[in-house]
Amino acid sequence: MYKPADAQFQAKAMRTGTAAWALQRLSGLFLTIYLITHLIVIGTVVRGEGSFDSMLENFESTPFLVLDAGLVGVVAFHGLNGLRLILLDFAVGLKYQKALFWASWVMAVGVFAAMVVAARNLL
Amino acid sequence: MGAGEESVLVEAKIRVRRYDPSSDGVARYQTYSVEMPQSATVLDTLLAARERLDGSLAFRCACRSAICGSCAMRVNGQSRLACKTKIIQASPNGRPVTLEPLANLLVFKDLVADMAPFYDKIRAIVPWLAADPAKRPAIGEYIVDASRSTKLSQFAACIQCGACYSACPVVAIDDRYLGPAALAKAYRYCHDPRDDAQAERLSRVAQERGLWRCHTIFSCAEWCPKGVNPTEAIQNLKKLTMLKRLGFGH
Amino acid sequence: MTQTMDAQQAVTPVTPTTPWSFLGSGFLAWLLQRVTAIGLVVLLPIHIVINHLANISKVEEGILPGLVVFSDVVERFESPVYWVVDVLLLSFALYHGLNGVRNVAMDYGLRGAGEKVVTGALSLVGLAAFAFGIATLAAFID
Repeated sequence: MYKPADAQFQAKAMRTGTAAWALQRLSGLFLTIYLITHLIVIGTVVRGEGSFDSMLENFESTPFLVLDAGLVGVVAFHGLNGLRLILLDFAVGLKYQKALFWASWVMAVGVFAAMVVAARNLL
Repeated sequence: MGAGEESVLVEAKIRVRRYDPSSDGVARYQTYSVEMPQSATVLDTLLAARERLDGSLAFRCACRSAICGSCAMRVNGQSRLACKTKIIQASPNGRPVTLEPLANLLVFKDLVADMAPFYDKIRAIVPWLAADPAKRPAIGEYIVDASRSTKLSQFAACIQCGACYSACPVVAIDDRYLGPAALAKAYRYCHDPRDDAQAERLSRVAQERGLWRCHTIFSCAEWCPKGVNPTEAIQNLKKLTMLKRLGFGH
Repeated sequence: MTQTMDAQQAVTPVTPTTPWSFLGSGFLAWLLQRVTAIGLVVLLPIHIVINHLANISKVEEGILPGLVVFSDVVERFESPVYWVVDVLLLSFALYHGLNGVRNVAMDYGLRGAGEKVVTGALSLVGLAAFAFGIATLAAFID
C-alpha cells in the first residue's frame, strides 16, 4: 500500500479557503517571531535614555518606515481575517466567507497605504 | 440532449495511476485512449478502457448515477465522482485526464482506496438517531418542523463517498483528524430534535482531533458532489459546544 | 476504532457535563485564542497609535512627529492606565502567538508525549518573555 500525495500541495486545489488558511498561518508565525524580536530589541536597549533614543532614531529612516508600514499591514490582515474566522465560528456569514476574506485583504492593503502616507507626511 | 449528440464521438484520453502490490508494487501512470460519445463521463471511459484495452484496471463503481458514492476519485487532482464528471468537462482541450485514487487514504490497487479509516471515523460519532424512550411519547410520531427538516436534509444527503475527506488539507497533514464527513454526520444527528445523544456526541467531537482542527478551509464544501457543506455543520457544532459549556445550553 | 453500542448506552452521557469538564479537550485553548484575539484587535491599534502617531504637537521642539522618546514613555507611565494596557497587551500577544504556534504543531499530528513537551516548552518561552517584558516596562518607571 502507498500513501497518495497530500491534497493541500496541489496547485489546482488552492482556492480562497486554502489561501486564507495559509496566509493567516504564515502571517501569524511571522508576527510571533516579530513579537519576540520586538521584546528583545526594546528590552535590551533600555539601559538608559541615551541608547533608547538613539536606537529609535535609527528606525526613522525611510526603509524602516516602509517596513513598519508593511508590518502594520500584516497585523491588519491577520486581525481582520481573524475577525472573519471568529464570525464563522459563530456560524455567522458562512455564505459570505469568500467576500469577507477579500474584504480583509483589501482593507489590510488600505491600512498599509495609509501608514505609508502618514509616514511620508511626517518625515 | 438531442439524438444527434449521441453520434458525435471524441477521443477520450485518461492517464490512470496504476499500482499492483501483487506484482512489482511500483506506482506508474498509464494512458488509455478510447473513442467515446461526447456526453460520456469519466466512469464511462474507465469502463470502456477496461472492456476494450486493459482488463486489469481496478476501480469501484455501482450505480453510475451519483447516489452510491463508490466511484469517488481524484480527477486532475480534484476529488469528484467519476460518474458525475463529463470527460469533455475534465479535458476541454483534449489533453489526458489524470485519474488517481482518493487522497489521504491507503491504496489497495489502482484507483481503489482503503475506505476503512473513513468509515471508522463515522462510526465513532454515534451515527444514528438515539431517542431515549423515557423522554418520548409512547405512541404517535415524532414531529420535526419543516424548516428544521429542510436544514437537516442537506446533511442527510451525504453518500459517504469520501471526496470531502480526500480534499481536506487538515486530514492530509494529520490523518487522525475526524474529518468533514464524520463531523457533518455528527451535526446531522445533534440538530435533530428526535435525538437525545447530543451530549455524548459533542463530547466525542469537541476534541483536539475533532472540531478544533477545522480551520474553515471550505475544501470539503467545494468538492462535495451532493451539495453538503460540512464546514457549516462543524461551525454550528463549535457554536453548540461554546454555548453549552459556557452555560447558555438548551 | 470500530465501536458499536446500543441505543440506551448512546443516550446516557458518558462524560460528565460539569462546567470544568471542558479541560483537557482543547476547548479552553481554542476559546482563549479567540478571546485574546479580540483583546488584541482592541489593544494593538492603541499601542501602534500611541507609539507611532504620538507627539504630533511636539514638532516645534525639534522632535520628529511620531517618534517616541524615552522621556515621553516615562511621562506616559505616570498614569496607571497605560500600565494596564501594556501588561494586558503583553500577556494577550504572548498567549495568542505561542498558542498559535502550538496549534500549527497540533495540526501536524503532534500528540501524547510530544504534545506535552512542545506545550511545556512554549509555556516556558511565554513565561520568560512575559517576565522580560515586565522588567522592560519597569525600566520606564522613574
